[in-house]
Formats: sequence, structure tokens, C-alpha cells
Amino acid sequence: MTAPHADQIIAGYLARLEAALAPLPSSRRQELIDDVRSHIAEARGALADETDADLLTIIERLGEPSETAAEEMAGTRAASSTATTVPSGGRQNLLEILAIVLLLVFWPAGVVLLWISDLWTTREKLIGTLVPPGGYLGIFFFGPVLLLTGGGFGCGSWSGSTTGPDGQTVTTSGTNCPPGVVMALFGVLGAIVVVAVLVSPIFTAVYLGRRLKRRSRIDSRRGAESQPRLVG
Amino acid sequence: MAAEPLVTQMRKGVLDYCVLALLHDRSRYGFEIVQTLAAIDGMLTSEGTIYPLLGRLRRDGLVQTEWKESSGGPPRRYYRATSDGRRALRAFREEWSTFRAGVDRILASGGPA
Repeated sequence: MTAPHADQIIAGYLARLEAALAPLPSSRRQELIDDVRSHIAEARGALADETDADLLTIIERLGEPSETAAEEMAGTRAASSTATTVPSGGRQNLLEILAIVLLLVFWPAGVVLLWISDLWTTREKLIGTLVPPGGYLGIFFFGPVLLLTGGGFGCGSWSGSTTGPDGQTVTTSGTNCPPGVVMALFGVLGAIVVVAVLVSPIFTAVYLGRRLKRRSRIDSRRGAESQPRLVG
Repeated sequence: MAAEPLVTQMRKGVLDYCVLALLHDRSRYGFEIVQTLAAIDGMLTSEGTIYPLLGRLRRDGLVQTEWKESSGGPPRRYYRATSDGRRALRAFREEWSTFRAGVDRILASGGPA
């Protein structure tokens, strides 16, 4: 059960933290706030039945926002030499943005970048890879092949002749087309499938983009590229 | 409680390496790190300060991060020591045992014999 004043308590704390972090660039500030927010969520998840007092304990254990902010600012000073060389802005997610664009226009390269990035989970990467497999390249290369081989639903006409018992030739002819309603249904279904397939890469791109935006961070890529700047 | 500022001061130099040690063999997510440290007296008084520390370790290339799905909840960011991080920890271990031995000796006898 949710504590009666859970939202107010948490929002109040996060607002104080945000105010204390005001001097920092917004991406850095947002990252820390996200960290603290998920900390609170994890702590709440561990409670069987929370009360306001439980929430206040969680908040109290986190400590004063000013203390957390001071720790974060201390980190800024130490890393300031590198921080100034990287402008705060979208540049840090170049790899991820490129991955999303390439998934649309040149899928193989997009997939490689998708898996290199450490900002998506494995599940998200699988969705990016498999919806649809091959992206637009896959659709345009394999789509027609599938249509041709799967074209058994087509209808054609037939005619044949048999020789009757009396020696006369009997000619029969007709079509194997299903009734008009069924054909129309197939047509509509086919159109829906085609549209869904054509739109799916865009959906995937939007999905990955939103996940990225939620956790796009200055630092994680730099960490992954392992450019050591401080040891010991 | 009167001793807290002293503990705080002592902790400053070593907490980074305690975290690196936790992340040496396997990856852990932030809340897990906090819980582990909080269970040890004096290691973590303000739990919120661990997150700036983790961010700093990452920017310094000592830990790397990875998002993983969690059962039920939202994805978690996992941290793990990089090879640079493990190297830094190794250097600290050696310094630490020398340092600790020195302090112990002084505390026990009042100075080198």
C-alpha cells in the first residue's frame, strides 16, 4: 500500500536536491536526480507495507541534499579539465543517435552501433534488431521474395478437356477464385500487414529514442571507451 | 555520534576503493551497493552521496555501466570495475596494508621503536 503522503515527501526531497544541484549542467543534475529517484523506488519496493514514517526514514538515510550536492560538485572540480572540452549538449549521444538513424537507412551498421552502446538494455537491443529484422533493407529485399513465394492465395482460371465415354470431347472451365467477400478481406488484411511492416522500423526508432532520452547520459559512453584519466 | 566527523574524514579516502572492491568480481546496481555498504558500521552515513561517487568513478573510467532488465521494476543501471579500476584497487590494497600497519604500530607503541 502506498503511504498517504508518499508523493509529497518524495517530490519535496527531489525538489530540494534539484535546487542544491542548480549550479550543475542540466544533464548532470538530471542524472543524479534519476539515480536518487530510482534509489527511493528500490527502497520502497523492499517494504511490505509502507507508511509515511518509512518514507521519511528512506529520505533521512539519503542525507541532506546539500551533502549529496557537495559530493557531486567535488567531482566536478576534479574532472573539470575534461568537462570543459566536452560541451554539454546532445553530442555525447552521437553514437546512439547514429545507431537509430542507421537502423532506418542502413540496418547492418545500425545494429552494430546498437549493440556497442551501453545505454540500452539487452531487451531493447533485441527489439531494435528484430523489429523488423533487417530494417527497411530487410523489408525491401525480402519483402518481395516473401510476397512471391507466399502468393498461393492468388486466383487464376483453369480449363480442361476430357474425353467422354461416347468419344465426345467435353470442355470444362472456370476460376478458383474465392468468393468476393473473402478476397476483399484478404486485401484489407494484406494492406494492414504491409502498412504495419513499413511503419515498424519507425516505431522501433521512436521506442529506442525515448528509452535513450530517459537515460541519455554524458558519461557512460566515455566510461565504456575506457579513457583512463585518473588512477589511484 | 561525537566521533562521526572523525569517521567521515577517515572514510573520505577509502570509500572509493571499497566501492571498487564491491564491483571487482561482479556487477551491482546502485541500491545494492548502498545496502551492502550501509550494513557496515560507519561506511555510509548519507546514502545519497554514493551516487555522485559512482558517477565520478565512471567518468574516471574506473567503473563501467550497463542497463539490465529487472524482474518487475524498471531497468537498473549496473556498475562493474574496469581493468583500470581493478588496477587502481590493487595499488590501493598495497598502500593500505602498509599504511594500516604503520598506524597500528604507532598507536600500539607510541612511535617506531
